Amino acid sequence: MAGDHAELSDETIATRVQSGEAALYGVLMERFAGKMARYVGRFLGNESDAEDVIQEVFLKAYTHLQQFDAERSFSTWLYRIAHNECINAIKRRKREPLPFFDPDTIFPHPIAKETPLDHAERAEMLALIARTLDALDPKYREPVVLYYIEERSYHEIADIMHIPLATVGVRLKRARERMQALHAAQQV
Amino acid sequence: MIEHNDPISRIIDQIERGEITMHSKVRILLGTIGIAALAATVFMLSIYLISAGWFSLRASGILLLPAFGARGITALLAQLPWVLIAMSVVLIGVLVSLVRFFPFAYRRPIAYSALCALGISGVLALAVNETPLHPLLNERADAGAFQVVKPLYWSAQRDTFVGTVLARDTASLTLDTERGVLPIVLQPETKYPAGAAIAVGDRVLILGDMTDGTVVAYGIRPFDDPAVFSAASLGERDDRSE
Repeated sequence: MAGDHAELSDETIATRVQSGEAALYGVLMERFAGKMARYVGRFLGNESDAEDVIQEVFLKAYTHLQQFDAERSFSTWLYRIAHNECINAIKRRKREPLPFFDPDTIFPHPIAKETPLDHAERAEMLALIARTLDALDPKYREPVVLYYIEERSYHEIADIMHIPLATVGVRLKRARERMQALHAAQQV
Repeated sequence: MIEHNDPISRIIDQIERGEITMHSKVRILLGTIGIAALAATVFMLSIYLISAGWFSLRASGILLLPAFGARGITALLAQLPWVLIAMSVVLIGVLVSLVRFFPFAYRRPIAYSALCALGISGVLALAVNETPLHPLLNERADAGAFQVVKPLYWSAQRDTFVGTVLARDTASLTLDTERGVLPIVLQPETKYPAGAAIAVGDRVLILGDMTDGTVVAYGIRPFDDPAVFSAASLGERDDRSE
């Protein structure tokens, strides 16, 4: 099915599903199944939870599809649903703290420039992430997964997490510092 | 019907069987209208509370208390409508939470949204205070109607007295207040504004201590803020000025 519609954008397919071509929804699911598995799996750190959450993400995306505005990015919209489902899953687990009130989003921060990593820097960062990601708090783990693994931009991450653009940079910076500290502690 | 085991196929099967359906545009529109209506209600309520609080602060005269120094500032702080202020803060908080569904709000720090909400509510509250709404509601509440809004329209309390001078001599005056007709004792230390002459018929604010029904004045100031005038007397003032 996916091959027949390879030339169609996600937004075009979503619009056609909204119009009644429900079978095309399978094309969207096939396109995003791998990305959702990676994002949800790394964010939750628990594969059995991940499968249930991914199924719930696609169900919710279908039932709420009439809310999707084709002028915007379907990918970002779907990640936003996945973000909400992951947060709900973390709250149900109750094993990790999720602050009700996030001071990072209250006051302005200088907006950090988004500097792309070269190949070596990226490989080093991915190795650091592999060793330390599970030990990070969810509020730092998620932007790390979205930026370094899912390769989303700062703007997309702000839209997915509903946080100010500057807060994305602040969280990534703090996440890097914590991962380096965790890695250093592991070396001792 | 063939049952598929992979999640994607299961969902497609459920869609084809009608077990999962899209929420209709009408339902989504109603939800959006509901949120917008809630936000508008909260917004108007915050404007009303802020404007009522500002009206009462002016009408009670307590904004003049800092003129009496540290004691006046203490009296002001003791009489500020802290519950009303807290309710206004909560409403602004609710409003900020509601607008954070929208990109123009969540892409910026919460402080910006809060300041914006407070600023717009404040400006509109000042505009409402230029209308006879609060003097009218205050009068009607005093007359027994609209009792639900009565707590929002409060007068000077404790050691602060506002009223009209009924009689005066060099050492005392008689003041007609909401707490009744009160004798006011003036002392050499009583603080007067420079150059002010208090005459019968003047409306004044007095900071002092009441003992056995008599007030010893710590300070006295003329008080003729237009906010205390009723809607009817506002009309009379307009007629007189023509």
